[in-house]
Amino acid sequence: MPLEVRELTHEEWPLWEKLVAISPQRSIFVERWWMDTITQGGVRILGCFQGKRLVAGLPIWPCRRLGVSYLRHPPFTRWWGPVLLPPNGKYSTQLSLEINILYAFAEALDASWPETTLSFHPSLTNWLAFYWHCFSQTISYTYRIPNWDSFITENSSWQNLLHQSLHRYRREGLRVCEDMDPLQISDLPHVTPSTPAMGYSSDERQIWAALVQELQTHHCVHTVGVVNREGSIQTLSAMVWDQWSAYCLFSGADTARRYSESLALRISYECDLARTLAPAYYFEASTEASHGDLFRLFGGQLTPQHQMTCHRSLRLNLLRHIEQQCHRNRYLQPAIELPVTIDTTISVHVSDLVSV
Amino acid sequence: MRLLVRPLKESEYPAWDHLVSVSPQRSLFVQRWWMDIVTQGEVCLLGCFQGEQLLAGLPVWPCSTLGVRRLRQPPLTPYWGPLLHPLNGDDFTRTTHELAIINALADALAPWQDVVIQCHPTVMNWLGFSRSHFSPMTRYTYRIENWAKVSLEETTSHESIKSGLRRAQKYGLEVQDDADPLIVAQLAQLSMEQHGLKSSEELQRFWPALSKAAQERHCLFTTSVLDPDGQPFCAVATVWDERYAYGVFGGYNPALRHTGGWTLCMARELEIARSVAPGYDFEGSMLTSVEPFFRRFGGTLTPYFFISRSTSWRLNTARVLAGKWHAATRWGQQLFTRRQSGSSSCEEREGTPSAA
Repeated sequence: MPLEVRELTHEEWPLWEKLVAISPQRSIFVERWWMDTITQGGVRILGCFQGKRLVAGLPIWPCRRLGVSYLRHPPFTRWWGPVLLPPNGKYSTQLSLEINILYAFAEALDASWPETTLSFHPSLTNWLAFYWHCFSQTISYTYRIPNWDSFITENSSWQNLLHQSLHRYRREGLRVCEDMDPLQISDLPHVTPSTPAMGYSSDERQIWAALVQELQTHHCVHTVGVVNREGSIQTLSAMVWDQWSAYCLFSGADTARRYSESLALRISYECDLARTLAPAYYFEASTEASHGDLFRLFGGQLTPQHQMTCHRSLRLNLLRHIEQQCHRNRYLQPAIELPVTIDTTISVHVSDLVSV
Repeated sequence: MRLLVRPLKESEYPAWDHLVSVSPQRSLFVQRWWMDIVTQGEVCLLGCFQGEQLLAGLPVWPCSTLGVRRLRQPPLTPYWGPLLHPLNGDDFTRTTHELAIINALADALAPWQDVVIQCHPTVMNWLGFSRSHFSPMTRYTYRIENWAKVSLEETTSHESIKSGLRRAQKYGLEVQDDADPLIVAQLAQLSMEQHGLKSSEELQRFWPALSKAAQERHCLFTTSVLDPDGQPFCAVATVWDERYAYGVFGGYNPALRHTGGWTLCMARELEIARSVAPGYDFEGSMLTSVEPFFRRFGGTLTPYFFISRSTSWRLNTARVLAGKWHAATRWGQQLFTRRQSGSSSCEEREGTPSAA
């Protein structure tokens, strides 16, 4: 049966909600209230229909910049990509259907928008159809604890070492605080946005304020902060959750003093908290090597996720280039020391190699 | 963990052979005889040592183009890239060591400005390369992981495969095993020209030596399909190691491509592959016209990383110019063919009344 891609009407939104409830790509980021808040009501859903049945959906946020219409990736939203029905039936049939659905979406995007950014859920690893439509792909990593049982058993040796360090930090005056004002995160000097968007603009500050209100209404936000003896905030993060996973969404830190210690304390507390809230946990999306080491130390497993981009507008490409140059200076990452130092000294005999 | 990366000496080659026999990334393509032939003896084996112990290796093929030092992926070699000794310990220790090793190997590639590496599907962590300014891209192959779980009937159960086999029968095509490897090369050249790809001269040059060496090691079989006149229509060469058989090289006569011969050839190849190795690798293509053909045989879509770094402006400019030249030549050829066929169809039309 042929596939048809069209925008869902207002009356068809319940179909989307049903799809999200059972899809392997389900997450808090594709809940209707989340998408409405984060896009300030601008979200639209492309539905892929097989006959009258909705087999997949793709949320989009059409915006306009410098006269070019483009699809924006919303801030604070880790995954923004296709949501498919769970696989059913023979592998080859299912794979063909998946490729056909993704092909239909890629074709629809390609035809209407010269600029698109998508982040696939880690469960979706197939980007062939987007490749055929000349999208570019890259891989980013996130760390996750898929279930808490493996977390306890597999990491015991490292955890003992870690807990000794954490105990020492507490003795030295660092203290974990809960339920701090989430809006304080943006006031901290070093902010880690969990989105592909670089930086944290005033527009995003407004969105964050609106999102915090909505999250508090839905009772699914928790903040974890670490303060020092003098009472000033060292690091602060916001965690959100749904029935499937908890996510460290957004964090800020004062990197000037005792950053690594406070970060370790915060993550430790977050893990304990997340364990009571959801069966799985996603650490904050950060590509910094030292963050990765710390996440692994707490039992996080490296999980790849695909990002698709299509940049065909000359004007926007030029603007992006300028913005990147500006951000490069603004977001220079500070050096972080781990609680457990791993000596990975590398010496390469370059003279040997040059003679090859 | 103190790591040292340096080229292996000849006396250390047995250590490489041992690594190749135990590494999860082992394949036929990293065995020394294969690498020696496909690189015409220019392969260099980099070893990553911890003390005296060889922890990992990376085969490289140093070349120079337009005065730029580069590392190439050899032809007919789908997987190359880092080979790691099986790592012990918990998830944290293993991932940390893997990252440190890959980081050290990536650092060792600093003298080369232009590098291309197609990693084995078991290498799913490119973070170590990202720090040395490499870019990743996910490519796909199709694999039958275990013949014990897939019956031969299942591989040919797709309707289009069945119809291809029926067509082949209708045209009176016949399968012949142990075809001359030179026929495989000739047909490969024909089909590459059909796709507008320039047939690689070096590939034609070393194929006789490679096929001979593989035959001597009893790890090559060739299959061809003959038309009713006994002329070869298509042929495939398959090589294998103890884990997988790989459809490494093949081609067909474009004039007869709708006769189902290619399907017949693949079906026969799978039949033989099943008896020589536990798994089969289709060496899938990402071309829109080729990928669905492999998919129908029921393999599992398997991603692997294509990692590259192109920082030489000379080579990048040359690539752009070559791409433009290639596109212009193709366009010219198509225009010429269209005009030719246009004039011949005019002649036919003019001749029609008299013929009638």
